[in-house]
Amino acid sequence: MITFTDFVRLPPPADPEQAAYKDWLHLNVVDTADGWVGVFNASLHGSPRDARSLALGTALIYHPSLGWIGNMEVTDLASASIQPAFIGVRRMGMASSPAPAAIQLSVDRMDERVSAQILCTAVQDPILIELPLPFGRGWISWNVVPRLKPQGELSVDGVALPLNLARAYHDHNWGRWYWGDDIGWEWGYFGGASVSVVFARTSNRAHSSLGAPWLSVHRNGISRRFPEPLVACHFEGSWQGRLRRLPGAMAALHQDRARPSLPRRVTILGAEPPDELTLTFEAVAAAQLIAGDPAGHGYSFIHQIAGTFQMEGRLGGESIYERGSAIFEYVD
Amino acid sequence: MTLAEYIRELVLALRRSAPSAYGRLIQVAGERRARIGLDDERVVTGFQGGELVFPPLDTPVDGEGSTDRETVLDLLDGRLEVTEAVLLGRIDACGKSEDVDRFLIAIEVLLDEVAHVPATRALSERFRAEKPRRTGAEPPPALEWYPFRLDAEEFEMLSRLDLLS
Repeated sequence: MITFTDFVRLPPPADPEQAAYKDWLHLNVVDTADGWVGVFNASLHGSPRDARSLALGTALIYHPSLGWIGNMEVTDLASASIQPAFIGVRRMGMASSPAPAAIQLSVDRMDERVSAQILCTAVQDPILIELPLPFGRGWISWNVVPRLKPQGELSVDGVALPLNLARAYHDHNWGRWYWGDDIGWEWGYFGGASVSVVFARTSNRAHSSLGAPWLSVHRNGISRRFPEPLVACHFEGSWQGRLRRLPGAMAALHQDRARPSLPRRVTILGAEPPDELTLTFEAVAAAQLIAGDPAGHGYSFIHQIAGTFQMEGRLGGESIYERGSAIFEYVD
Repeated sequence: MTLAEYIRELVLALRRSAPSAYGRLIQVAGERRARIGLDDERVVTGFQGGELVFPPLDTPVDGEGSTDRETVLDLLDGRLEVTEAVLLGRIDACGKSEDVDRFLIAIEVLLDEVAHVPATRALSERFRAEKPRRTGAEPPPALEWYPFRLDAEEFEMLSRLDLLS
């Protein structure tokens, strides 16, 4: 049985950095057949002892024939439901359970259109990183469950989206940073029928200074992480399209960010003989989640880019070729 | 709540929780008067001696802005950009250039505090509950920049000023 012990990392009262506290439960569900991509977040921003602090719940689905559906709920942190392994706001909540390792998602008519009662059970071992990594003026840490099997019900306008060919990914980020600081990151989850690929690297806001890349591949119970110097990532082109930007009040304030420069194609390479991997991601649609810091007064822009990918290479002595749906995150 | 009550609660929330932003709001607005419309409601408002006031509707104004509840909800839900709302005629703003600029800056001051003033979020939820859509939520039409055609004379002028490249 795969197990996963994780919990919300609320800062203690004496924490001198608690104003910069962030805690973020993240779940992606992607469908390899119809190409829809779900983005679900339940997050806390700021000290629990500060009335300005926020709790956010996001349930967004990109569907090729419907576009972006769903919304973001912004509420006071004090009014959120916070349990040791659960963050909930009025219309959505997310929890992790330890044995068997699983993520539970509940969404109640977000935007009056998206509802979900899903249990995502881990089919690959979680990756517990836990270490605080330098991030702007603060630090960030994360745990990852790279491949889960979703079961339950996910619906748009009352119509169920089939989950039999869907795959899921979960991570939990926490730390101390202020939105709007000189921070950014690039991250991607690429979910195929038999393989999951996870890519991540932190950066400064301009993405001119990049942290060490993370590239891991998960297949048939085997996880393979490529050494940092043997990973490369390139962007090509500029995605042109209409963004869904949330929350709307922040979008109205930041008109200058309505047409950001986002990659149209991302190529990720990993090679450590005999294993090698070439993955190409093509952007199809994008949403912009605007994170306003309740204490720091800055803003960061979290771009969720939905798309497709194909990968080929060799892993564990086997040739692999796979296509699927994916989400790439570009934060500045 | 009436439109005047929404405006009063919003500005008071700012005054209580973000006095420096409230000071900027007064500085930007000066002694100007604006007529604001939402659906069929109209109010005239402005600052006088540092206090928000609502003079009679026939008071001369420096600018006017109006919209409807569907536009407000579309903006709050991120379905519509402000530029689209203006170009589609869903937000009307009239007045001299400086007055309209100051009117829009005042709105920016308010928006900038939304992330930091909890009471503004409660007002947003109340607005949703009290002023539901009168029609179903329709996605806004795809908008080309601009929605009106440029004529040859305008192209010639832009070219002459080296603004086309």
